[in-house]
Amino acid sequence: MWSKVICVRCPRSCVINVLVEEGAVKSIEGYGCGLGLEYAKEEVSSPKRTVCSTVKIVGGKYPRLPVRTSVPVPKNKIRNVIRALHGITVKAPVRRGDIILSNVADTGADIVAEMDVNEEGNH
Amino acid sequence: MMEVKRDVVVMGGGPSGLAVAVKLAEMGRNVAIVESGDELGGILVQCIHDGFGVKLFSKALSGPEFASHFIEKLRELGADAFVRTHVINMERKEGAWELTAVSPKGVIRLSSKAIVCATGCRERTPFEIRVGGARPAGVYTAGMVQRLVNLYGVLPGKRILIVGGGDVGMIVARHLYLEGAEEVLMVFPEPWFMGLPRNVQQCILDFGIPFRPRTTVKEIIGKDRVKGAVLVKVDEKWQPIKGTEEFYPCDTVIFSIGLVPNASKLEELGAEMDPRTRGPVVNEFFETTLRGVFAVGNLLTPFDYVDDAVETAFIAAEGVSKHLNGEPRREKTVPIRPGPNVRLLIPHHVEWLKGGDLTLFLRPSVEVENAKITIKTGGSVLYHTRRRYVRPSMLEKIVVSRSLVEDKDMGVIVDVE
Amino acid sequence: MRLEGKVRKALEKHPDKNLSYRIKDGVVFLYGQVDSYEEWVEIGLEVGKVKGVEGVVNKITWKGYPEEKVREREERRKRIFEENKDKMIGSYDVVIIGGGVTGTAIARELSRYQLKVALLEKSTDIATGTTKANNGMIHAGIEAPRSTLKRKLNVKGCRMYERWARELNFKYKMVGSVWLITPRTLEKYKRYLPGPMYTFALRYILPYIVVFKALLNGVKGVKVIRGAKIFEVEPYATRDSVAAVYVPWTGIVEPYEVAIALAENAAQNGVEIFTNTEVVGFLNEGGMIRGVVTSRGTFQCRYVVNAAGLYADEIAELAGSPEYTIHPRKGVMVLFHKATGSYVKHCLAEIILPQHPRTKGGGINPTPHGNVVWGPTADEVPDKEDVSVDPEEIQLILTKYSTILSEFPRQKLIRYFAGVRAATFTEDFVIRPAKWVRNLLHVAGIQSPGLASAPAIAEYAIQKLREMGLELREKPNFNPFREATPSLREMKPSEIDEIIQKDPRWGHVVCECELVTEAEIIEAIRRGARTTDAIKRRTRAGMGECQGGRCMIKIAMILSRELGIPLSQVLKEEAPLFNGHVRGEAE
Repeated sequence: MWSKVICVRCPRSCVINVLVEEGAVKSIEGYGCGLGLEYAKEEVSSPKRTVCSTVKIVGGKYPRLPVRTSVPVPKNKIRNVIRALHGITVKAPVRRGDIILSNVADTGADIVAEMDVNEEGNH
Repeated sequence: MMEVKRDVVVMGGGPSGLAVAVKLAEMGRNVAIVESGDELGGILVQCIHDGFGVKLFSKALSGPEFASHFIEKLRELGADAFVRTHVINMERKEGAWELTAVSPKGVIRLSSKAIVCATGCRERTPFEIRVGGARPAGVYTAGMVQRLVNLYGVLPGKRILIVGGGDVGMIVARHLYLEGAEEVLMVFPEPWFMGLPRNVQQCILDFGIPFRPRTTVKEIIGKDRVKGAVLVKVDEKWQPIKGTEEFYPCDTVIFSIGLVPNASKLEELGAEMDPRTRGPVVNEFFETTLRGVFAVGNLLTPFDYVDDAVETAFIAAEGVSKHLNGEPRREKTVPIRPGPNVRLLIPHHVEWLKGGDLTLFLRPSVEVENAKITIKTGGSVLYHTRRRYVRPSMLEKIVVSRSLVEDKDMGVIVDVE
Repeated sequence: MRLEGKVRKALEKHPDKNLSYRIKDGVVFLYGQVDSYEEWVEIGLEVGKVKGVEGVVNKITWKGYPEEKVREREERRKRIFEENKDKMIGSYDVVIIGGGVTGTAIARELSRYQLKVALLEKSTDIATGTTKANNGMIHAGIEAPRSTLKRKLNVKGCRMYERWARELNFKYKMVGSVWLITPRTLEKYKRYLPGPMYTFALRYILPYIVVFKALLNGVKGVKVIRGAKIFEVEPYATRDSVAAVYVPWTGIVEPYEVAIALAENAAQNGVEIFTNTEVVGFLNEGGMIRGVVTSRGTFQCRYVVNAAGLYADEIAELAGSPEYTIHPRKGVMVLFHKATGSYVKHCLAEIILPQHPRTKGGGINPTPHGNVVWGPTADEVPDKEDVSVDPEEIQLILTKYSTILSEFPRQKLIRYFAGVRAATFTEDFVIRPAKWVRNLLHVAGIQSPGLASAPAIAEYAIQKLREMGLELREKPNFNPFREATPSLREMKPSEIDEIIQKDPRWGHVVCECELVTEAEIIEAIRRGARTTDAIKRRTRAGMGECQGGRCMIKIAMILSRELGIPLSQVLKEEAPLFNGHVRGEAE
């Protein structure tokens, strides 16, 4: 059976058609790049999403630090991931890529910082 | 007062400003960036979602990550960046450009032979679409909310109405939905979302956020704080249909209704403007009609991909170099005009005598499958290419050989069929 | 005919309504029921027109009368009254109710004398009512009917503005006004003036009628201009202008700047200004007010000045001397970007007779900071707090006034807003001692030309207070000068560098559209601003092209920091801007 998925990996939003027969992916058409190919394969069986959010940070310029999952996590775990971020407070300085939380919500993905935050006094 | 002399001064430290500065520094020019905000990265700092850089790096980075790449490069190359520094005056003095800027350190006078403006866009206000009502607290534009939520961790309200089916609106809808809003509804006048399908999928459909197409806001209700909005259905011409008004209770209305280039300074200086893009008229190296002043990124027209915006920066860097080298320009420019199916098109003309391939960006005014993009002159087709699908919400890029266009004194027309 | 007879005659025009009236000391009280709000206004105005009527208290109700709301309001006032009637704040010679341009002008005038004065304002800041939401025009005094008090005070007040601006340091420009006479001017009467007579009347008769009206009103120096001269004076005037009347005395201000400057000077000279202080009742004894009861406590007083604008009628009633009812009249205005300032040199209007009921008295005005404002309209509205704008009204304004200029970039619209005029049924200022309370001075019904008349209103009010027995002993150290608010956009680069070296916050531009720095925002807070709108009025931050899109959050951050309150508690004007934190995680 053919399913249509819209790739979310980048703005191109390729419309990818996936043929699934007997529980296995038989054919994939319409992807624009490697990320899309990967995405389409997973979307029909175990859809995953990258979750981007923020956590509290003290000692930096802004009170929030943008973070993301290191790899896409199962779609049905998105809310668990967000909930796991609740109450976390990080102290500046932080480097881009620093692991804030390992294996968030038991998904195997880590929560990593998206940017550098230097230690600063309040402006 | 501090005096700063450079080959090039870049106004704006967002992705395009960073990219042009990095490229110029790599080319051996001494560059300085002047940035009004507190940090480099521009709008990307608040765009914590991913999808940036797929064309350039084959990676789906978040905004801050994408910006970091260029910020680090800039640091390595030793170019200066003046943050919290705002240009208050720009004028031409004896063939060079002089900028006067204020910063907490004092007044800074920058002079250079070339300027690159990378000041991006601002958001359209609800006044520009004649929304009625009073002016209570609780009315925002999507970019404001994105910044508020992502950098400050503060919510604009709890029961949210988002007006506009564009990307920023959808992304903000998702943020708010996940980060503590009680209710989110999205309305827009078009029959379907205007933003990228990927965002429809991962922001709206994934979470089941309610939305109403062919609907807009007629009036905001509430004097001190938003109490609700009067929604009304619209027809294909976006005209409200009488009798379909409905009161929707909410405490926050967020408008995501488009971006407008921050081009007032250029306009004041006398640069020619394109009423379609609302940005400056530029040549193939994105130089404005003010000699030595280049425009890159969203200042030209809002780009869907930051990768494309950054590409204009790379091209402009070449142009700046040509300008600094004193390379010759044509006596008469070759105009590049949009055809009837093209809503806007940049660049607007070919001005330099020599150069590489031409990169054009166009926004079609039609939605077509198996579309043909053509370049014609006086009826004959010089070039054509096919696209599987074109729509107004996606900016198309085409690269053509300069020789095809440069000798066509009467100009060429780019169209979509 | 005696007053009673005249009033009865006026009411007889509505025989099928069961209307009744009562007259006391020249004030007519109306009772009964009508179908619509429009009728309520009409009847009130008709009775108000009767010669000898000194005020109309219109107690008639209409279908849809907000009984519930009125009752809630009364109950709320009673409750706050009970909570505060025994809480003594202090003893004052004069308590002024209302912090608009009228109240602050009177406060400033009173601060010249050795008196303990309190100004009470229910909102979070000065000038949040009618004063902030008008087109800032300082009329010369030609429009108001000759026999009215408003005309007299307008003509006087207009000429006092130059001195005020000098002493109080607010922006003021005597730009003058040009009233264009075009083929549309007498179009409704064209059939009475066939052929060449029409143009002749427009060119040679009508202008002099206007000059004559001006002279009768006490406004001299009005000139008539014709032909090419019109375009020398006003380059973008509509090409089909036949003649024009030039009035040199008309001025422009930012109305809230005037009130803020007055308030600061008054405070400088000892007046105590209380914001967030709503008057809910009075303590009366022996026909006099002994105390003004507010949401903050009770102010003991010897005299009370009622300058409560839209609520002056309710205050008058609470005080025991109801002599007028306010029928709110809303006006919508459209504001354009500073880049359009070069299109308009004077306050412009096109004379159209008879006047369009919804746009009479309106036109196209420049503002002292370089914007252009079109409007206002005029609509009777039942709700005093109705400052909503209907998109149709914007279209009405854009269409109606587009005939004034040959060219104008209408797409450069940046904002539209509405204000509500506090009009009484006698359609004139009511500045007189209350009839039934000995120490209350009414300064009510201050509709247009209220702003232009303000200096003269204050003078007149002080005179009345003196007649009422208030001793006025001059203060030897009264300082009429209020320091201007310094602003980066008016400074030269050398000045800027110097001031940044003293305070680096002058180098931090927060509002890019209007070039407003952190230092200016902090100064505004020091001078009393507590909300983002209060900062906006004092610094212009948020008044530019992006309408606060880029700076509003920064301003809120600064307020949060300077006032020591969490970001989620920062107010726009009366209500908080934000609500809650991400995942409930407070700072």
